Amino acid sequence: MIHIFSWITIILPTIMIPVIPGIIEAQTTLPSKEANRGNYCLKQDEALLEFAVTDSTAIVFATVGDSTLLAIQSLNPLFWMAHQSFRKKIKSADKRGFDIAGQILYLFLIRPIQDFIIGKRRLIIKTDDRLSELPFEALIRPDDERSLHIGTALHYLIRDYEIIYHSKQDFGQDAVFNTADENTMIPVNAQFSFMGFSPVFHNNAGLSELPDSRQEIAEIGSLFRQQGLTSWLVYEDYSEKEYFKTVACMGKIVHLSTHYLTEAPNKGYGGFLFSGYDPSVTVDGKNEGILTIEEIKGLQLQADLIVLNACASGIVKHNSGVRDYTLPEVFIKAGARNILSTLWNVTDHLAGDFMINFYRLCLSGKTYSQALREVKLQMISCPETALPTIWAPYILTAR
Amino acid sequence: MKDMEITNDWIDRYNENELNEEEKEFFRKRLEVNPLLRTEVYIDECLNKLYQDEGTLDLVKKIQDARQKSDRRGGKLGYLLLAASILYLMALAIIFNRMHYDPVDYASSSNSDQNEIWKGAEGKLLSKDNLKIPVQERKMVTQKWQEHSVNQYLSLNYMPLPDFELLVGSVTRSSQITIKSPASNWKIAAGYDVKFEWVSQNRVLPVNILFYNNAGNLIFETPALLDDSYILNTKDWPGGIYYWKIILDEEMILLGKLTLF
Repeated sequence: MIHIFSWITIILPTIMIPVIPGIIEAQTTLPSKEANRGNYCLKQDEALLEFAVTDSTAIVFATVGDSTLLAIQSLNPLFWMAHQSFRKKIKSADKRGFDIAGQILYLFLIRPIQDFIIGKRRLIIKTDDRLSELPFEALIRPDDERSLHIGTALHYLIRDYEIIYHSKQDFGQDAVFNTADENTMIPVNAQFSFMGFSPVFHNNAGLSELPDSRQEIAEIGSLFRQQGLTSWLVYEDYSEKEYFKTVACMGKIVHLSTHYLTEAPNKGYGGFLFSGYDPSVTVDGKNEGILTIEEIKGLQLQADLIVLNACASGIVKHNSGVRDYTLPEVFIKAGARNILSTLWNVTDHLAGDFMINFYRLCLSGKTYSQALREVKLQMISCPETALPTIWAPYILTAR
Repeated sequence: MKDMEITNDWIDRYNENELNEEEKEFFRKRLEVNPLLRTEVYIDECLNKLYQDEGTLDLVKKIQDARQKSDRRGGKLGYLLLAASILYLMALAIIFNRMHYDPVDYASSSNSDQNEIWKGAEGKLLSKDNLKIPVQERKMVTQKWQEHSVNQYLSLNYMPLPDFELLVGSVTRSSQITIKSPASNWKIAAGYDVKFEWVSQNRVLPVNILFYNNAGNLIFETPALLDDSYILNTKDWPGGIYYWKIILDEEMILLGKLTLF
């Protein structure tokens, strides 16, 4: 009982602003000429959601067809507590109370525009930095009886929509976000349909070996060959950084299964680890086995999809001097169109299984976002993999 | 330079380019190390742009007009909304309380010793109850104790937890730390020490180790560990399956299983 009162004590000051989550403070539909927010060519079944949040307010622009709904929602400390709790629990595989935090976030962020986007197939989400590490897929719709039960029956947002995150990368006035020509498995201007890199790190002191990453790209390569498509697989010692930099421009899909190191030893730059990585050899902040963000910026990619199957590859921030860019945005700047990355640590074994299933669906004719959604739904339906810690880190970012 | 202190108006002045060179340099240095400040500057900049847009100003005016009309119409409605808000927030407070504290089944046990708060070695205060079998299962055992053999009672502690089983032993693709011991699926006689040992790739980061019973309840949490090892004493732990998580920077690095027999 004491705990209840302690919570009430925290929350009571916030009731000076009479806000009920899910009930919108202000909502208006913009006239069609104002609804054209930026250069977006949305399909009939797509909705664009743009979020901007401050400590006390959330502004959501929802665009569908030629009309936009503006929803302004007051936020109270409960929102930020739920936000922090949700992220912490999902990253540490702690399911106690995770469902409640997910429902509170849904009430604040999605409920205000829920009816406006009904019937749409795909959500394109554009967030500011404060929500950039939030997996919208795992938000839980509360007005459903299934949400009362833990596990496989929770009504996650991914059940209703495919979700793509829109890169905040500025491509100039003429750039257009357009998903019309998305994913066909036919290589265009690329020598290989699939290029996979797996350094594995067998017998590398100080690094955990990733045996399943080898199996992962071997099986994916086999799936491509069965479809008569070309694949180029680079394992273990051959998976060197310089080689990657030379050949990555030749793949339509470039897949990287490795470790990501946030900060290298001796204050060196972090990055993706390749064969030959030696923690003791760092010269001027550079290490021969680490592909740094600066080096990624210099790549001339033409890939339709880059898969970064390493830990937390979707949240690494790079400060350009003006604002922060995430790692997917840096790859997009280097020429890639779509990036599949992760928001937190992924385990070697399950990360491999996830990707094999993803490609199997892609090769059966699904788009990237359809395939991603279906793999996630498959995992949710199985009690052993229903924990969002396992399926929710994967996000698709598009140019 | 060292005496400078950033106040709220600095963000506006920075975005309006009103800071002098010295202040600007100081502010930029703070921006580099403070992500929260960067976010505030970014939001302030966006809001400035939003406020300069005529369409937005017109829209805000319309919203304000609509709200004023609504306020004039619904004085009583406002009070009702306020009352509803209080009730709603109280309900949420209760829900949130549930999120952060596991229920302890005081009613099901007549022995006060079983509910005694127990302080694990250097760890958090936890209910000793959690060390034992899950609440629901314990009720069942209490009711039918006479009918159960000791082996049946113990077998409940050895039921694996499906949520965690698939994660046991699979290393993550993060190279921040590497676990040297124990093995991810370790079996040992109850009462023995278990040594946890790891190697950090670069700087030393605090590590937490969380221990769960086979019902998924947190039973023990170490404080933030800055060393590269920790010794767990299992002296008071009943036989059964336990799971442990190595947490670094709020993220799980490895999930392992410990079977005490």
